[in-house]
Amino acid sequence: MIFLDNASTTIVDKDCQEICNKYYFEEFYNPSAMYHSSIVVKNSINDARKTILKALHANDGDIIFTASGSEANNLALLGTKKQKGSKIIISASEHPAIYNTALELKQRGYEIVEAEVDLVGRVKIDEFAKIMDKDVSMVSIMYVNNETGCINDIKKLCEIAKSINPNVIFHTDAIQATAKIDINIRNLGIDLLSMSGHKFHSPKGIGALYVTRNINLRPIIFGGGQENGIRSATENVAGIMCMAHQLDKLSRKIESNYNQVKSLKNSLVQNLDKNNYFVVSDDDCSPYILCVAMKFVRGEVMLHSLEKYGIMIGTGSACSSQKSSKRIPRLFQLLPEYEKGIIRVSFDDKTTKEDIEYFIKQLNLEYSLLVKYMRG
Amino acid sequence: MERTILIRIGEIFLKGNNKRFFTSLLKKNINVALENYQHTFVNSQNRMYIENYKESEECEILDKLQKVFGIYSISTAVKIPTDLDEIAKLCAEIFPKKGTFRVTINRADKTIPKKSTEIASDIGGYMLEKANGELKVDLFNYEFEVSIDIRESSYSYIFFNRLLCSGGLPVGCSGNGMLLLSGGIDSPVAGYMMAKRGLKLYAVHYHSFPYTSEQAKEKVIELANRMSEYSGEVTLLVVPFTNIQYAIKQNCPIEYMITIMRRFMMKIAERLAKENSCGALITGENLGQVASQTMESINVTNSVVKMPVFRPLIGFDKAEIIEKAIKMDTFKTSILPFEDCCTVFLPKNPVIKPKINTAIEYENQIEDRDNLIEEAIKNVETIICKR
Repeated sequence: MIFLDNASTTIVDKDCQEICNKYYFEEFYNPSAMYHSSIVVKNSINDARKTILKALHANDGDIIFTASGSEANNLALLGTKKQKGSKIIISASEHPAIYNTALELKQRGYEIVEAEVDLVGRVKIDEFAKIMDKDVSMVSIMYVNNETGCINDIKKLCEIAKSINPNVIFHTDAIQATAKIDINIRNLGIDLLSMSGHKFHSPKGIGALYVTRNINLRPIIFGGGQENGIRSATENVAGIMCMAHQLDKLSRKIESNYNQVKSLKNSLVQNLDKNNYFVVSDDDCSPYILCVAMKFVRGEVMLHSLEKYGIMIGTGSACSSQKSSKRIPRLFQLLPEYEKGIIRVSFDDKTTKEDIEYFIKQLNLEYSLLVKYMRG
Repeated sequence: MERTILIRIGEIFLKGNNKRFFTSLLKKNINVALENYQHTFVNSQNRMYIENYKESEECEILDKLQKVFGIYSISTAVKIPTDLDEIAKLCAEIFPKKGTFRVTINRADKTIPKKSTEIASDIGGYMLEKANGELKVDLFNYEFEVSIDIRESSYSYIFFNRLLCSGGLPVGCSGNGMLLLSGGIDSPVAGYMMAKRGLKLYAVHYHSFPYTSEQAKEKVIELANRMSEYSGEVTLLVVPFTNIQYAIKQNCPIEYMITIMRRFMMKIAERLAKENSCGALITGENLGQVASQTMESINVTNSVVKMPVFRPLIGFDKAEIIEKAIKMDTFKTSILPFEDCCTVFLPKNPVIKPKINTAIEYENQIEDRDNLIEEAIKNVETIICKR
């Protein structure tokens, strides 16, 4: 099996098995209970918070654990206090967890402004500076795009935003960035950051929102008052411990992993016949994600064709089955013969050179077969 | 006092000498529908009852029975030994103490000396007495009816309600039918309607991997599962169809793609129908809905089979079909956005009025067409779908 859809999820690291065993079968206690064993668990959660803050190079601020990256994004957008009717800027290439939450805010009377992006989905800094004004109460721009891997200059964008309105709240969806590129919160100057555990080898069902010290969040889930009342629900202790462990472990290897994946991605790109494939992602994109458009062959059909070799790739939201999601592919302004041919190949630190070689071989083989039966 | 469910049969009561065949089949279908619930099926004196079930499961059992074809309506009732005083007491206890009502007695047990109307007035009188003046008799504009069956078995039944069921004939009484199940809105409804007329369903689905996904197949299985709630077990045959589509694409003009594809589908469906003792094909075709469902197209695709083809939706509007699909709960699954094999290689301008001779001429250009059909049939995947 060659799994090249790591942007959708990743295999859980073996370390997590041990951690889960510990918190499922030994220290299974409710962290909110009052006996000693529970307090030990509660302390472990707080240690996990510190580990995560440290990995993100955050001086202060807090980590709110959620059940997913989507929930962290929802909490960031819906839970922050913003002046009624004020403007909120998001980028045009945001993930649905931001985009659809922004639509909800629009329903609630806020004005949503989309920051213009280039052909890989990166926010154009100059255009951003033009739309940013004093009426903007919040900005949410993703760190790494989930379709193309393009990296936004969050530091620069945040600087511009804060120079125009010092009170603006700046959020970044860092779900495809966490544990893959070095995030330095102190340096970035942002207020909120979302992450999702299963994108970096932790189990599904755990995410987190980083919140800087001077931001007051209002809960979107109510109950027993866990996470300082901001996110009630008994904590997913095992998930929290796994996520913190993974982030800590991978943070130490960010650079070497990055270089390793980058060379794999480059060798893949070099081996794609430019007559048949158009590489959407550019050199400045995160090497973990590669977006390619094929001429005349549908992405979804290629995805299924590669299944028989045990190769799994993604189509991102470009999948033609999801008829509603043409929003992102449109941004790439592809020629008509490439429009339906988008595939997303996403790597992790365990992807090997042999995997990529085999993938290219089978991709080219299937392409030559499928292109014969292109749609009339 | 014991709770029981009375089952009233639909059209079966019109049957003559072979009524037994229908009722025994209905009994079998009911028992299958209720196989996961403790119950006893009682068939006495032309009536069917479900007894000895757990009261906590009554709602689920009623729900299951409402989906069994051949049942006209059902009522929940309590069964008690026939003692008119006790019946009156029980009625006063369980029925509302307010509003207008009537009492209706059906006295099959002629050993009871009183006439039905006398018993009704006695019981109604007793209920009025116990109700502090807020209850009133109105024989015509009543809010609830106290309906009591006094049976010859020395037991009586007091009914609470009357739930309309699906009607139709017991599944299986008309034989087997092979449904062409695409994954769209129409075909499950067509299957439902023919099952209602007593056909046991087989279904054939054409799968064009890698053009149609695993999810598309899962969707069709889900549709067959949902259909099976009414029709009972559905045997789904999944036919690999990609190679046939490739051959048509390579050898025939694109505007005849769909026409010739459907001729292949009909041929294969008839073969599979014969292998599975089905006497008819069923399609969700609907006159004029799309290019392949014009009178001319239906003629060209129909001409490859000898078996009768039932098209129960032929005269419906799309809105009417959707209404039925919502009712039988297949609509939400049908509109899941996975491509089916008909949309693969879909020409921009399919022929609207194809000609049989032209279709045959193009078809003959596919030299190994018989082999392709054999190959497809050989690789059929059989899935038993059952809720």
